[in-house]
Amino acid sequence: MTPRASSVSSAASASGLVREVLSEYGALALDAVREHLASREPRRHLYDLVTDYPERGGRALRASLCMATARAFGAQQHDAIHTAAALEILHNAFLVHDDVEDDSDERRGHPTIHVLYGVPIAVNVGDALALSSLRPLFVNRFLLGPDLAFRILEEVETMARQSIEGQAIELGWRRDNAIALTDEDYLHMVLKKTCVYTTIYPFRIGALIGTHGRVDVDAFTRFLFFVGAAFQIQDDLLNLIGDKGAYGKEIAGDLWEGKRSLVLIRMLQLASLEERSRARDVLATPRQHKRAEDVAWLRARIDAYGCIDYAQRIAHGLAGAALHEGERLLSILPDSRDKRFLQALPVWMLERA
Amino acid sequence: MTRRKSAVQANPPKPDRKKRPTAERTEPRRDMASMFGDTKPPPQAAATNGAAEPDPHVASGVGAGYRVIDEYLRQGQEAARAAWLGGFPGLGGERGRGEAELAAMAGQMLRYSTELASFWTAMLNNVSRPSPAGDIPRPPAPGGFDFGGPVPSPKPAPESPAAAAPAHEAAPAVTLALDSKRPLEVTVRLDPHGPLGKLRVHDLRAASEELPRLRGVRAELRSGSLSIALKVGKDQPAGVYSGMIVDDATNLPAGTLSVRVR
Repeated sequence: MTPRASSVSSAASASGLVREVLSEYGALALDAVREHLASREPRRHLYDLVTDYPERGGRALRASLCMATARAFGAQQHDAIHTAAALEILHNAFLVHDDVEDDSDERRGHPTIHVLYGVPIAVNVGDALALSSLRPLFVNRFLLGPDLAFRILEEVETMARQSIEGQAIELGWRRDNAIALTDEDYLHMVLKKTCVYTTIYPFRIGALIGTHGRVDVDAFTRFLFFVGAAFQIQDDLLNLIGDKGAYGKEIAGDLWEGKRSLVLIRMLQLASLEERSRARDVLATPRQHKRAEDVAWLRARIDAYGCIDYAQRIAHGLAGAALHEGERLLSILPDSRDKRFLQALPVWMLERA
Repeated sequence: MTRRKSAVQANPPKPDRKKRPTAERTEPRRDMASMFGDTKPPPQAAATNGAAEPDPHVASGVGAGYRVIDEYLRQGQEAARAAWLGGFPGLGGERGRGEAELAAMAGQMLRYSTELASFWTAMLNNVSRPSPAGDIPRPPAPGGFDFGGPVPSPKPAPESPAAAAPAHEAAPAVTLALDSKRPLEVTVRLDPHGPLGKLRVHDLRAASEELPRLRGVRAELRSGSLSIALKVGKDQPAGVYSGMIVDDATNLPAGTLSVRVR
């Protein structure tokens, strides 16, 4: 086997391992989520809807990462399951509110909550999910002791606050119709909006559970940032070039919503003055008033300037940086399937469809 | 012997003093070109794209990534330092964190000692005074609160001699209804400050996820007595199965239930 064929083959097996662990831990987390989102009255306009997004079958990346990290650091599975459920419930709360803020049409292959039931109901469902994410954390008092339970609560609070700050940066860009953005601006926004609650804190909290609070979790932040940034850029790319069935959201929806992805920022950097002026007008137009030909024009400019290829290269570079940072940090852990899952995450981030 | 070798023996050279080799670098590698080392193959992520040699755009993007995350870490360290020096809101205002924590801990110790004293006083009263037949008065909860009502005398669980709940003066009596052909050991821990409404028991799980769960466990709190109904099939593997007891209305934890199947 040639070196290239060998590395491609091992990349495929690494991605297979990640999919396997996500499937297994995702199912366990969903069971725990169901336990904590017990159905009660009022069902029709609240509790039946609270379980809608979790039941649509996301990949439960955050919950799985928390569980895998906890186990890789030596915890039992049940030590982390309630915390993993809390992260998953909070993630779904963010999704419901994000969909309202972005006026998205589809989530996981189905109409969004606010499209189905209206914005007021959707906002209330998101609030209920956000509040419900605290309940599983109370169980930690029995499982992990009061000190660690409180530490985890603090971590979750910091995680949620920073994520909201990241979301504010992105919403502000759209509100102000920001055009002159840099790659560094984008990565800063992604760090706060995505990495903090997708990779950095699920890992931190899992490591705290696994070591009972006796690990320097800050040391892993660089590794997790690069994993999360590669994940977000790949997500942005899938929004433009992904398979709709696998992606589960509207293709080119980010352009309709005016999201400042790395691809769009690159196009705006390379565009001529006239093109930038037209792009500014298109992006300033509310989604419901945008014309399909204007969005198609944005998409064509993205292709003309090679912005997809550019973003793919940056994502690969960031994944390479993640592998570089993770190699030394994760070597302290004994070999296990969970450790191999953590090591394989950067590769999987790029290969997922 | 060759001519060269004999020449070496005739004039043995003075051994060189050992020196530490000059370091290749004095700072961490943070550039794309040297990121993956000189001898190791490039990482799989790069290989999958066939991009063995990073281009300037990638180097610039990764460099931007390092600047962003290093700034984030620096700000985090500054915030931690500021919190340590400036104290927390609600914990002493402008005083230092150490001073504020000391004040908070002193207050906590005072509360605990007051609660302990009242608890001891109540216990001594109970011990020195003969109680009427049957029920005994409930000792006050820590903090001097009394939720009222007598506590039934502890009675042995009639259904299973193997089952026993931990004795606790303030805990309600426990009645077990067990349907099992297997020897069981049941442990119930109730949070003395937990909710006391309608209860629900989560499925009991073993440490290994491969073992089937114990489902359909019921808990009911009636007149200060806790009834637990539990069915264990003859094929249930031996092991310890644990789960939460929660308040049905709020899902707040009320305690834990653990069953050892032998």
